[in-house]
Amino acid sequence: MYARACICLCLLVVLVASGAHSLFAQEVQFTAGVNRSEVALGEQFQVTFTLAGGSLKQYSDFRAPDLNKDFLTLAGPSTSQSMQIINGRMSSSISWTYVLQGRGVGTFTIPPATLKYEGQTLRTNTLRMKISRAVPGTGQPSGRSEEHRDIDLGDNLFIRAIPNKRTVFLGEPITVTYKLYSRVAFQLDSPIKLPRMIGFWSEDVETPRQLRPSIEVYNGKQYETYMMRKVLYFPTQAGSLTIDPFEVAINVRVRKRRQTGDDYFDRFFSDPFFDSYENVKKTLMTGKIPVTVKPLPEENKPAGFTGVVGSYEMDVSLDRDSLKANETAALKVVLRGRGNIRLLDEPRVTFPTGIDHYDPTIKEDARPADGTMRGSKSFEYLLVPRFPGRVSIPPVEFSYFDLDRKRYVTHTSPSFTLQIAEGDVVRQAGDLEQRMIDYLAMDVRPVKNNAGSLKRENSGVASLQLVLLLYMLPWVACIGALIWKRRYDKLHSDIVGLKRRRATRVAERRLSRSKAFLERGDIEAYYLEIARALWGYAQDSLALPTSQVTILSVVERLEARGVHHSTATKLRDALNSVEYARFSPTRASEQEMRALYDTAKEAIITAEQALRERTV
Amino acid sequence: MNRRVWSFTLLCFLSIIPRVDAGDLRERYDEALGKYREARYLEAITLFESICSEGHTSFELYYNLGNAYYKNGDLGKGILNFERALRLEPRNPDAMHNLNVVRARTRDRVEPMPLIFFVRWWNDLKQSYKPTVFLIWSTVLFWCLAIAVFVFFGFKARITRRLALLSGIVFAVAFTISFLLYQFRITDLNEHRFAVVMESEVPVLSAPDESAIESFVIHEGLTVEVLDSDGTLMNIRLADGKSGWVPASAVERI
Repeated sequence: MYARACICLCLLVVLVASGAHSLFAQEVQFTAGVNRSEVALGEQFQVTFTLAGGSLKQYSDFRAPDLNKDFLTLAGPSTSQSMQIINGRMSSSISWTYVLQGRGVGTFTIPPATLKYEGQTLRTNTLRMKISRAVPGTGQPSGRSEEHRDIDLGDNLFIRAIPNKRTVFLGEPITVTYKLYSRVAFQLDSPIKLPRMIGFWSEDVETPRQLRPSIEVYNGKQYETYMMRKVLYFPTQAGSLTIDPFEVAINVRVRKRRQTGDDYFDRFFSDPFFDSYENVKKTLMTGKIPVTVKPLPEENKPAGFTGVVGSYEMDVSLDRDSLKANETAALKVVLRGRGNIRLLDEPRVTFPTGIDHYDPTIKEDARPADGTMRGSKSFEYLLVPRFPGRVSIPPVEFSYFDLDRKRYVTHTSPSFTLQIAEGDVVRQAGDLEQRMIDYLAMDVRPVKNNAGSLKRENSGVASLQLVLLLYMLPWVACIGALIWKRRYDKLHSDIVGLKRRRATRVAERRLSRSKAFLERGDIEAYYLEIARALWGYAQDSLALPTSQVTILSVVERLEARGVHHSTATKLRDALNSVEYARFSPTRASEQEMRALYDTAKEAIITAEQALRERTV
Repeated sequence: MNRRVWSFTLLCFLSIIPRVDAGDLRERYDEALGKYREARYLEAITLFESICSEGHTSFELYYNLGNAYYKNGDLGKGILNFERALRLEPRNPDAMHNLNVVRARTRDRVEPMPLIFFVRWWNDLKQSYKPTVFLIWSTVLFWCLAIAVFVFFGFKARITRRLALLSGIVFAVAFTISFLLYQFRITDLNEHRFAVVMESEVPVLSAPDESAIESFVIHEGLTVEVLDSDGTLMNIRLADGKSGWVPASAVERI
């Protein structure tokens, strides 16, 4: 029973502990990484253990895994710290780097490193490293130069890192000049790579755009020297540090050596006339610079000291000494002097209660000068007193370690008093002012990671041709469609009108043809033709369907069109008489036949005239 | 003949495809972002400005540049770049927020004049879409109008014609509105009618004359409307309607 309770308790503790672990693991990360996961035997690679996030002061007891079992440690551990401020939030990281080489071929694991952080033990991930058999030529740029890459340039071409001092205080800058010494012709091959600094904050002083030679005698020989770069290093931790080598790849022109074995032949061709040159690629490296960084003395260390080193002056000012409540006043602290201005933190200002204050607006102006940085940094605090009365802002203190005098210096500003009058009530209610004060407490939103379109200016506007094309296209289509529609209508749907217009002509033609039949004595054809002329005319001019053509409907239609009754009767009589004549058994006389022709013709003409009068 | 028509059409379409620049731009942009994260704002500004000076623009570029200027303590330039970002995307909430954050730290408080409701509607509508959207709208409506005209003239039936006439009028009105929206938006984009005060304190003169009396004073970061400019002096108007003349060098156009 007792034992079970014990187990339960243990489990609970473990659970809570692991829960807590995962809670802060979101902020603090301890990871391992390699710069390449596959190398050939004999090639170097780097393993880095990084602790990121959180406060770096709280870790202890970093333990690297046993690397020497499978690998050969060439260098390390070198530690580096970095601090980043992203939108006002500071994050820092520390890393330990080892340079390793494989001992044999195969796949090896790099076991986890451990670290204590706030009482918890953190472990990194394990890594796998594949080491393959060295293949000659792999990893080298192709070309003829690779055969000669082991060329010994001796002291004809080298690069030096020249520090101005090797023993400094924490925070005291070291100027390192990288200089190339040369007695042969060369050409820079790739851009210069500065080493990743470990334990230093670096600041470029000078990077010449063009290399300018100067003459210098070094170790008894005369060289052309080129200043490659000048860098300021501010140590950020005490102890024995090293400034890593600086690398630069160059092309050198060297004489190609012939080895034929034939002595006489060689001597003949060793004449400069037959010399051939070729470009050889070579990587130059400076040595490591060991630096001793002394911690700052403990004696007389001021209470408010935050690690500032250099020499500074402080200027504190308040832009007004009397104002109304809810108005704004600005307190400005300017630090001016020499030292690592970029890392200057905001001074500690104690604000009295009853005054709202906001994060300062920071202005920085720093440039390298005289082996350190010179410039100023200003912090402007906006103050909004909320109540009337008289408040005083206590003195602002700022301490630093003076490098020249080797002692601590503290600047103290005078104290300020603010006379606050009764606030303007209307003004206070003014929502613009109120909103703006709300915004004072906020920071800007973070930057956007995507670059957006990055278009050329005005290219968002569609081109004129396109707009015109888009606008004209439908109108061209519309006009085209109208023309086509007109033609189609003419061809298909206006047959009625066409027939109407042609009705008289057709009737006349038929009548005249019937006359010819009469001359020839073809009575049947004569009657048929007259009937066709009359019926055809009636049908076409009145647009009657064939099925509806009767005498009655013809008369109705005519009268519906507003034709006078007598005209309609005339046409009806003509139709009646022609029908009668066609089908009557008795033969009509010659006069009667001719009279029928005249009747039909007259009926058509009068009907036509009447219809035309109506439509016009 | 036919081939010429085709190549013209092709050219028209090709001219709207933006040219693709080398990855170098993107690289510099990312480097600038890195510098910003390391709190090296001055270097970030230099890199962003180098992209700007080559004529490349994007909302994000101006936005980030505004952030960098603000962090570096340059309020005027910060406001200028947020305003520029808002010129490209007028209703972006992030840029509006940041603009207000920076404005809160400037000295001038100008209450804008209230606008009549339909002016406000018009402005809201104008700013709610990209210009291309208006262009597409107006084009489609124009086509519809053409169809209505075709139906009106091409068909005889009374009801069809009446319908075509009615819808034609609707299309014509809608087309006019969307076309005007497009034109005004383009004008807003290209005209640079507003400017931001760059100097910490600028006296505003009552007349374009060195001896004119000083009517009021404006400070860094204030956005003003430019009414007229003769090279050395600029006639400006504040959001509350006050106007006057300031040296052209004291302000920078958005």
